[in-house]
Amino acid sequence: MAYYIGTNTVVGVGINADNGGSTYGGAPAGFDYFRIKPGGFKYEPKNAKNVVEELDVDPTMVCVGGLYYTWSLECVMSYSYREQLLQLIAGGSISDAGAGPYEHTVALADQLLFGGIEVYYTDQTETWVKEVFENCAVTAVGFSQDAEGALQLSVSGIATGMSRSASSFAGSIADTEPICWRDFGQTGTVSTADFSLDGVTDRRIASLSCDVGASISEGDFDMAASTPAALSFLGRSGARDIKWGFDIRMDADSYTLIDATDTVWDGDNIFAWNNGQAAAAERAFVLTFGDSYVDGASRTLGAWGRETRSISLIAKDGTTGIIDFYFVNGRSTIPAP
Amino acid sequence: MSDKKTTPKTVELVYTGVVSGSYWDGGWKKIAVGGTIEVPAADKDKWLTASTWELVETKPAPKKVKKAEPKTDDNKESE
Repeated sequence: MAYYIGTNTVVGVGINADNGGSTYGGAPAGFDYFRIKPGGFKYEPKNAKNVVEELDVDPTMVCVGGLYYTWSLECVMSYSYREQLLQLIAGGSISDAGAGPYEHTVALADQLLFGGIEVYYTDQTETWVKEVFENCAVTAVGFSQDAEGALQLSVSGIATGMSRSASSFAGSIADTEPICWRDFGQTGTVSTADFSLDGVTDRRIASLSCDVGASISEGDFDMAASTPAALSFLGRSGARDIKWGFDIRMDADSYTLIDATDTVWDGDNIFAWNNGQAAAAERAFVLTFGDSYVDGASRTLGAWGRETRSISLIAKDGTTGIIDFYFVNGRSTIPAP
Repeated sequence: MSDKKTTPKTVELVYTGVVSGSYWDGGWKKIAVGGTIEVPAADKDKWLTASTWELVETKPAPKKVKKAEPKTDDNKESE
């Protein structure tokens, strides 16, 4: 049998088990597998570095920390089976509610959560290969969407190690439940969150984006490695860098948004999607942003020569409600670490 | 009496995903919610790492039925 090249790539994510507060936690379980965009998984081996500076020589870069990996993936966002990916950047637990459809709220927490990423693919001889990325921390998550497609998700992070073996894929890929543009701004029965900007619900936008960063600079984990192959990630500040934005036609609405006297949007800032189905078939995804500052409002030329503005915002300081991820889907529970 | 225990060569798994999905069986096969497959027992753990499969509990083989005893009063023991 011949296969279409590249169609066999599968990515799985599971949160590391809680084993009493050790550095990375235990082995992950409850993997959620999904397809990615063509060529959508990338990784690079890296070596932690220390700069040795002395007066009489040029600074020398020495490698002391050992090998680690950076990785990134791009996939279509789905109403289900992406919860654990977002949990990795949120850091907190997922609370489940409802009786079908079910609601899942991913809590933001000031802690570093680790998970495992599995990547399966077939090589040029159509032999299955499995790559396991261990102790992954997510450093960035991005959402984007315009009128031409479904909500897109990009995730990147680091891993302490990677192992490769010959192992055919055992598991299953749940069909994607794409979050289409037509779903944007709809409210449902279970999820009644309304799309709103600065507390106003009757806006129209042409595209949107959201980026959440939780950086771990090399200096943060460039310590305490006793063997070249092992690297300790010592943590991070817990701070998240949240940016979000959208394109809007130049009209009275956009002037109101841009000209806000204090430039702080302290109303509800909500991107909400709902598939419009009733009862157990309802699906929703809601991104809620807390108070935000306007951080740009560039003009662009839109369709038919109409001017639009790309408004971008950054999250204001705060400890709760900076960003919330909320799902309504058919999963009664999400695998817990 | 020899203690002959036969290890089952395959186990049955039920697909617990909330939407239909695909699994690999020499090619991608579609599976509906609640569908079942048989996999080699030795590979069971590999499959169960996915959040979408659960083992179908097979009923144990019926034990040798003891000779039926006449029905007794339920309260007899507690007396």
